[in-house]
Amino acid sequence: METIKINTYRRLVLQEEQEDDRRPFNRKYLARLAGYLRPYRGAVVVVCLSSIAGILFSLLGPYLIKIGIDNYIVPRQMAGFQRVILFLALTISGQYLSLLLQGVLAAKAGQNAIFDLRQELFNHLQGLSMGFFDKQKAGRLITRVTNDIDSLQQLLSSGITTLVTDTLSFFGVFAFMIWMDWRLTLVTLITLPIIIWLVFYVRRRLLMGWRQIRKKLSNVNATLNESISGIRVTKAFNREEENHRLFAEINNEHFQATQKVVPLSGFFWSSVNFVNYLGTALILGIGGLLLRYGWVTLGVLAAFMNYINRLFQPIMNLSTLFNMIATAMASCERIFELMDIRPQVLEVANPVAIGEIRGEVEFKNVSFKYAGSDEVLHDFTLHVRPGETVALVGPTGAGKTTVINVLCRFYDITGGQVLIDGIDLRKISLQDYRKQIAIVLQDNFVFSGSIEENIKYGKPDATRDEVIAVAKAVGIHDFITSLPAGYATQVHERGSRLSMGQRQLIAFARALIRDPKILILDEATSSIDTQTELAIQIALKRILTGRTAFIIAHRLSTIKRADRIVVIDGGRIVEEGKHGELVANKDGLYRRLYESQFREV
Amino acid sequence: MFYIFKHLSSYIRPYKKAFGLAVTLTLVQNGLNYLFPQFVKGVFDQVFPRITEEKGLLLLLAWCAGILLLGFVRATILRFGIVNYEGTANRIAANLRNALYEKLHKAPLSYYGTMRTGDLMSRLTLDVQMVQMFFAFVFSHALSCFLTIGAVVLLMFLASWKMALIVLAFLPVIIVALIRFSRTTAKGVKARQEQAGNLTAVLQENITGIRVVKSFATEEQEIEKFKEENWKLRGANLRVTLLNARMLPLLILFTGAGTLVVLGVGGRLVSAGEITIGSFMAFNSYLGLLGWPMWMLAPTLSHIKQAEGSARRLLEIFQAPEEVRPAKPVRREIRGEIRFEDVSFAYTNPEGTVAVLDKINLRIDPGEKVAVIGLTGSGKSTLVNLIPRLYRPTSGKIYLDGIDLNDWDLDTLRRQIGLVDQETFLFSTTIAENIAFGAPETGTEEERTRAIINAARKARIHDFIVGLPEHYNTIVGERGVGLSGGQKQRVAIARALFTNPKILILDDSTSSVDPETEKEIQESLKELMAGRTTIIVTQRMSMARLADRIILLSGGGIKAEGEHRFLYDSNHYYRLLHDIQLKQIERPEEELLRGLEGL
Repeated sequence: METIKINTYRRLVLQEEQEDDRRPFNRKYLARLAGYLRPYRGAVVVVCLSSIAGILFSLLGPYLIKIGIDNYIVPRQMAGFQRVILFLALTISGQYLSLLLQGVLAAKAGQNAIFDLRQELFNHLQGLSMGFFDKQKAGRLITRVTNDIDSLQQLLSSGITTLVTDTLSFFGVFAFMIWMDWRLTLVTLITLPIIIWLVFYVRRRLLMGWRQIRKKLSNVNATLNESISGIRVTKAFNREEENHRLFAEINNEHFQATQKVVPLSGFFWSSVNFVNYLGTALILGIGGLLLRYGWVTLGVLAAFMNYINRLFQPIMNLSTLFNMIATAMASCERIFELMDIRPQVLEVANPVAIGEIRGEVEFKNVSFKYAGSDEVLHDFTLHVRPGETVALVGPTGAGKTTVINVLCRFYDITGGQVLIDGIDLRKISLQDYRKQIAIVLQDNFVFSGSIEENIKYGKPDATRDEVIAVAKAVGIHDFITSLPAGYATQVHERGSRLSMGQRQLIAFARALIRDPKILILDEATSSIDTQTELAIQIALKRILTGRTAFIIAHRLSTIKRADRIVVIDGGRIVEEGKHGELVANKDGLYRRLYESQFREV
Repeated sequence: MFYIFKHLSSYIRPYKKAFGLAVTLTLVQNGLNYLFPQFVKGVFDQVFPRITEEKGLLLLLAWCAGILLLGFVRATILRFGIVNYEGTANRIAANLRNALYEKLHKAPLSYYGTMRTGDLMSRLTLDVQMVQMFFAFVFSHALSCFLTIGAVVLLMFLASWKMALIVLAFLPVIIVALIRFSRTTAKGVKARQEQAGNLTAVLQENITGIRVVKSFATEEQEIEKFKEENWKLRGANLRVTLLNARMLPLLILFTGAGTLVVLGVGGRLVSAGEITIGSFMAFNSYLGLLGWPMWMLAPTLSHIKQAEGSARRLLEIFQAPEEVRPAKPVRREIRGEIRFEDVSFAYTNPEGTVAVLDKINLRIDPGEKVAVIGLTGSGKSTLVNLIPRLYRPTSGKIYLDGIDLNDWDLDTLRRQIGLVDQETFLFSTTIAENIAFGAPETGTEEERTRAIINAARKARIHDFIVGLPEHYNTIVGERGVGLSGGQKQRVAIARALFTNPKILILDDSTSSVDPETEKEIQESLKELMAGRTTIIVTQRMSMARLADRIILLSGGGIKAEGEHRFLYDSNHYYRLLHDIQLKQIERPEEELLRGLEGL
């Protein structure tokens, strides 16, 4: 006991998901992402063209104002001034239209690409094998399809526009300024390094601070979530005080992180502001000097005051874009890595047509191991006749669930053969095969929707009569009709409204409606009351007749119903036979299991 | 906007000064903003015409220095303002979170029955953030927006009332357009959030139910279902993006129109000698000043609306009921004698009142072991939940050691009761801490370690724990290593034992363990129950048989009670339940089911 060191003061551990990390620029991912815009390349071209038009129009505006001031207003020569006004009006309209076109088309192309990407990812997930899902946390996968894709949204819809518009607009404005007056342009360049430093360096530090805040906030939120979900335990164990203390600590960490960013934020925004003043003072000061020697006109100065802001905006926007790309890289990496995973269980190229199967199952020297672990089935041989009911019995970890995983071909076996009606399972089309089997799981998952939809899940084109027929067969019809909305009653995932037993009966109905040739049943260990258990036994009698069935059985009543009991231990069959025969074997595992469970206390 | 100040006043009050300072700084900073065009005007009007004169350069230098000074002062004030606003907002948010957290822990369990976890979470996270943002910048933005618009209008009139009138004729139209835009956007954003929620729901079901999907080979069907939601989400996203895509050009159109008017009308006025070129230039830059508030107005207004809603929702939490604590609480060691007198319990949901327990009379002696059995919905769990006062009876009285349960100090009471629940909840921390959950500060570290291991041994989970890579320091719970139902339950039993409770309540605590483990736990339970009043709620006869006395509950009332032998002989329901589970009876299930009717 003394060798065990317990860190009792580790307190609530918060493993932050490093989901919002940035990644270095990766051309391959970016190119792959851009590939999703390919189908909309026509729109993308128009977007680029109209961006260029927009820039030209926006450059033209201040120039027209300059002409208005220099040629007409200052000399007080108003003849022909209307033409300038007209041109300006046309320019503004042109700018409006090109921006509108660009915005609308970019939005559409971007959203379409996002739709395609998300759909492709989901379709890909549906094709992956059970082996993949068994290892993944559901939350992670959900984040991939939702948040990660969402974070690419902006990049795909406005990213290209920003890249094209702002790069062009920066160089456009720059060229225009040089063309108007190269000396004043040099003056504006003085402030450029400061802006670049602010926008690319200081802002990045700000963003880093915000990321830190987000991480701390996710700690706060995770703690909150847990506190709410575990409130019953907290109250029952009188832990409120201790929880307050812990929460105050975590909350304070977040607070400190927010406070750390505050001075930087103040510095950044005030500096950006000051640079504006600096730029203006420089233009006016040095411009005034040039004016004195007649090297520039008033109009040029006025135009420059206008252009200086237009030079800074694209830099700001580009820095936003670069940050967006850096964040998007992380999402891209996660999405594409997921997309590159190949399913382990593959459809055979030329499947043997099986038609309707009889339900004969043969395991021939089957061995199996999960990736990265030891072999769990060894030389497993079992022949099941069509229509036979087999109960699989054995201690936890004996390999019962693995037998079922292999039978459903959720995993491919590592050795031996599984034969269905004498045909190797790997030579049959997965779809054809799975359409003829049905599995009822321990955790009876219901989908949100009506009860009818849930029963029809395995056979969407089933009629109302069929639904009622199977509901009656499993004995849940009376219960359903007793509900105010009957078969249209809405249920959801965790099946509130439905008790565990009712969910099991609905799962039976869902399996039965497909009239499966092979039925697989993983019996729940959870305690349901005796009444429900009897109802389930009655339903079982009906659904087991006329098909091959495998049951991972815990209840004596189920075990006794089986035609044959197969006792598994350590991945091998250790005993086989009927209940009476097995109990008679005094040294057998079955006898031991049976006694520990059912003998009188 | 005032709603927020009013309702959260007690959380804002401590920062009145800091916030007041921030507001003042905003005002000053805004004021300085209007000096800027004046300086530009000055340079154009006063300096440039005389630039060729002797003093021209000196004058220019002075004005430019003035601009720089102005910029510096303004930047400094801006900086202080931001630091003040953000700092205050952060403090307000941190305090709000703490206060909300404490408040939630004071609310009775029944409050949680009326609130969905997701709803509470969104209040504590999103709504607090919304309020934080309000204080950090939304409020100052709103202030600046209105100040700027007002000041620009004033300045424009001062520069040239004729031009001002013409330009400002557009302003109301623009503002109305912006407000409408912000409303449509808010609606669009809400619709998008809803649709994103729908998509996530379908996705989540698909992934959690993937075994069903795979075994039924319904991938195609699932893809169609997802595609539908995905397409709808595309539509909802597109609506919002398109709104933004239309907004930007529109703003450009507005400012462009303004420039057009200024140039057209102003140009004429200048050439007619009615205004100076300086006024004209100033006017031009005033127009530029309007750009920012126009940009900000729509989002700021919608932000304020949302922050108001958030403040209201937070206030609702602060107004939630609190657990009743007695005036003169009894603090003493529990002996463990429990008496129910005419105890009834009912709860109200939207569909009406549901009676769960009806006039229960029951007496449990100190150290006695009692099993409560009955079908689902018979009120078993509710009965035991009343003992640690997790819920309070609707009518009737419960006495503990002869003292009204309501008079016991809540902490004293709960510290001495160990509860093992049907659905085991473990926190995301080490196994050791989960076991020591009820009394994390007991004794020295060494004593604590010994106590933790001792509890784990008794709960038959020690061997499993030391097999884990980080044994007792292994992190479990939602964000840690996944344990099986049986393992979790055994940790929960160890957790209950750690506090060495006087009363032990096992609420269907072996429901998710396999029969062998159950057998093992049963063996250890015999030892655990010694010297404690124990109540076992169960479906399983094998568990019930561990008790001295068995209570058969049916429809919220006690149908029968007594020791096993007595019940077996006297109550046919009990005998039937017992035999179905523990004996082999060769009778059809239909007949057995009929036999249970009326229970």
